[in-house]
Amino acid sequence: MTLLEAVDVTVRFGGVTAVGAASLAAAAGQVTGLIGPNGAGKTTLFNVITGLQRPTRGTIRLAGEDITGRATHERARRGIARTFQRLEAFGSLTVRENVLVAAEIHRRHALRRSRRQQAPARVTDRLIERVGLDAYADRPADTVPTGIARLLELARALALDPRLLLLDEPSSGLSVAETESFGDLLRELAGEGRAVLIVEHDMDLIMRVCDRVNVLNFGAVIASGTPAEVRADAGVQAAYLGTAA
Amino acid sequence: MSGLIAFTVLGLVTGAGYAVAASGLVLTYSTSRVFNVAHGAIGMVMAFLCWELTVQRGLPGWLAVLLVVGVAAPLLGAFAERVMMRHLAGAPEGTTLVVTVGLLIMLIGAAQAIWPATARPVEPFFGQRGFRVGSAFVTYHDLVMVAAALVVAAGLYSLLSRTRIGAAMRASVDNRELLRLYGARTSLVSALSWAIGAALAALAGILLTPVVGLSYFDLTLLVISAYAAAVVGRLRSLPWTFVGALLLGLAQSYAVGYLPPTEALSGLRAAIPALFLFAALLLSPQATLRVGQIKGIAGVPVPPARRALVSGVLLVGAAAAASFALPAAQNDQLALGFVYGIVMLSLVPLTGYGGFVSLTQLTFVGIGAVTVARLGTASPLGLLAAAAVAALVGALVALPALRLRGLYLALSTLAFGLLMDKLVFQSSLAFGFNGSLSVPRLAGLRGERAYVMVCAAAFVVVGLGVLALRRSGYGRILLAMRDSPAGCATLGLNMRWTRVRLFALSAGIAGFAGGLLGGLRQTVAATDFQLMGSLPLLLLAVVAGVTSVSGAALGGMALMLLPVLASAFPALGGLVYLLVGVASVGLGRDPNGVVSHLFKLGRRREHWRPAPARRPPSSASTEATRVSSAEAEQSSTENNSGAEHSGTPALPLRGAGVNR
Ligand SMILES: Nc1ncnc2c1ncn2[C@@H]1O[C@H](COP(=O)(O)OP(=O)(O)OP(=O)(O)O)[C@@H](O)[C@H]1O
Ligand SMILES: [Mg+2]
Repeated sequence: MTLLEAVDVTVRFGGVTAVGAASLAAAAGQVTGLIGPNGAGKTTLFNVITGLQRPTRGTIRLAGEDITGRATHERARRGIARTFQRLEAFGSLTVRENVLVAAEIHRRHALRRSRRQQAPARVTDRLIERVGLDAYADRPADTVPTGIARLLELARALALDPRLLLLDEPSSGLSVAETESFGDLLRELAGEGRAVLIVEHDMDLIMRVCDRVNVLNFGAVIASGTPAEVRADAGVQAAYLGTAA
Repeated sequence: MSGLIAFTVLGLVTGAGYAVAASGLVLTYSTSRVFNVAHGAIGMVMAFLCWELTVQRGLPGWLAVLLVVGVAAPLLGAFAERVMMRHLAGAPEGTTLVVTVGLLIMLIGAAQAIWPATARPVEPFFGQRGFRVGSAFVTYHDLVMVAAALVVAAGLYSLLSRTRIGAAMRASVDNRELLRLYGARTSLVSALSWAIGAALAALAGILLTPVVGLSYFDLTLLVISAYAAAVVGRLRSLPWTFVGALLLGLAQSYAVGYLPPTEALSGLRAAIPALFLFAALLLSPQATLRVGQIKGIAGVPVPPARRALVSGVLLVGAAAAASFALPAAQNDQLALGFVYGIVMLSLVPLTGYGGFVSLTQLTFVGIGAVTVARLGTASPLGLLAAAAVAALVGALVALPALRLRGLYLALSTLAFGLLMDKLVFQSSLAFGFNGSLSVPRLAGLRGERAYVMVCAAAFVVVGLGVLALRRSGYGRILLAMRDSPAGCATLGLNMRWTRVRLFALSAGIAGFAGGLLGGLRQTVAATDFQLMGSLPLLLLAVVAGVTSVSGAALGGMALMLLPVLASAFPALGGLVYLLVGVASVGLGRDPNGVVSHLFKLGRRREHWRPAPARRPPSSASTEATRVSSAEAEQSSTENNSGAEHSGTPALPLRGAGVNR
């Protein structure tokens, strides 16, 4: 079932077209990849989906509802959570408090109350363990390594029990072994019925975990399909070798 | 009809003066990302200097203006940038704002020391000579003002669009890092923008002196008019800033011309910029959130509840002992120190935790004082009413800037303070025109000693409340909002209401202190609560330590002692403020203030205790986000974990992050 639809999204910064009429969908229960060279507009598209960036044109729909005009916090309450490429962890709070504050906000405001909603402290403990942050739980967030801070942002996002999870280059800063178990976690999250949309430069990870992959180049979606289809696409290969028109 | 033309001419002329001031403000802000609250103060000092050169030293007017605007002001601007602002690149907006408040206070202190207060009538250039346009009389001075605005507009246009350095200035508006990558000399760009900004402030100050008067405060407050005009251009666009300035000039002129000249409205002229500003803010579009990097401000330790309680009881005990040792008059001073301490406590959640700045905290104190005076009792219930009224007003102040960034909120408080000074406090609603109100003390507490104890106890109760807030979920949200607004929004937090509540809370605490102050002074007047008094208060709060309750205690006592010191050693006068201003420069490095250094002393001792090391497991593939301090932090983390295990509460180095 399609959960997120971005239709004809265009973002211009002055003369620069960061995203040009890009359309993309993410389905519940699937991991959807979004790849593309540097500056392709991936992060900008994430910002549009979360409401941090107003699109010049285009529509964002979540479960059929048009949320284009909604504020960021309203979208979060409807079940969109994300991590940031340039980290936005709360540096003066500890790792645990980062997750706790998210769980507390969620409990107070979530529009969709799940039946088995638990106390924020319990949610936090579970997530810290699940994402593998135990060793860092009491460290201030601005002193942990970047890889850990990315996991922290993931745990924080999961504290919202989101329907749609947007991950912006979550694996950079992780070791090979850590990336491996991170991939498993992503499959698990999709298995819980969430839609996971992931921006990644690590192609092995993308090929392994994604159900579908969209390729963005110069702000336009130049290919989308299964990982195998995308890998075989001539246009994609050209874009990645830098010979695209 | 003839009136209309005259008022229009007057409005346009004043607007031209505002345009000169506002364009300097916009230029400095957009290129250096520091909002210079001292913009008007620079104009003020330079206007005094110009007066000195012409009236005292007998220099011809044109030469004096040339020297001041062309040499002295740019030097001052560049100097301020070098010494104060240089270290602030990337510092939180609140910090940069407070440092420029420090500059403002230093400039006022310097002006008062060099040119002691006397009446200094200032003639317009060319005296009252002029010519008629239809039915309106235009002086040559008016003409100079309009000409100056046109020259500034043309000059800025050609600087920004025709020169290389101007192109660099425009580019730095959008992206400083990018500019640095391309090898542009960002420091030169920034220094130049401050020099030009100061020159424009000087020019505006000199031109507007005949309108505003050669006054320390009124000229300093020109920054509000300039800011109001600049908001129309969203602090970026120079053409819109000019439009804003002209509109403001016209609004002011028409209001003065057509509203009845009653006593109550006598402050209206000065209050118009504030009203104009609120209107402009309400019409401004929603601000977008910036996405950046992990930011964190290491706070001072949050003491565990039991230890805080014990410290509080000890403090009240110490106050009681001191009150018996001191004579009656000094008891009042002691009580005043505690009341100021509560005012500073009101800044702890707002500024210390939330990172927002209120430039007019004394105004809320005044509202509290008026409330108890009007109720005729400073009973506990009266104090609560004072807090409630102040909180309500605080929420109203935060509302217009609801959709905007923190900077706008801080500057709205400035405008609000002005509004209250000029209109409300002077009205029959509050103190009346040049009037005062009497406040009875709490029933049964007529003695000075008892009142000291009440104030000390009130400080302790509010302080414990602030600490409880810090430990609560709401406290976590405040820190989170300060560190990453974008992060908070994506978690579903509606920051607008969180902000309004925070402002209301802070104003409420200040209002409560106002009730106590009323009872202490027993007679209160508008002059006790002026905007200009709020600025040293903010500065001292921040210098002493606005992130902690102990900092508030220290700041309160310091604020009480400053005037005492100044009157005991008159030579110190402006010097004290100068020192506080200088101290604020250090804030860029350590936002926790003086108190944190006291804590650090204590912490150093902790290190002597051997503790079993417990290293957090390291991740081979990753690099630390904060390389520079990683070493220091590591050692203290080990130390803490060891101490915790042995059951002794150790002071964690980064207490704001540790929830006990
Ligand atoms: N706020 C902004 N103002 C102006 N231009 C911007 C802004 N944000 C992004 N851009 C531009 O938009 C384009 C797309 O940027 P974006 O960050 O979305 O790319 P990306 O695909 O996430 O790249 P990367 O893989 O490097 O993260 C780039 O050319 C970038 O310079
Ligand atoms: Mg990106």
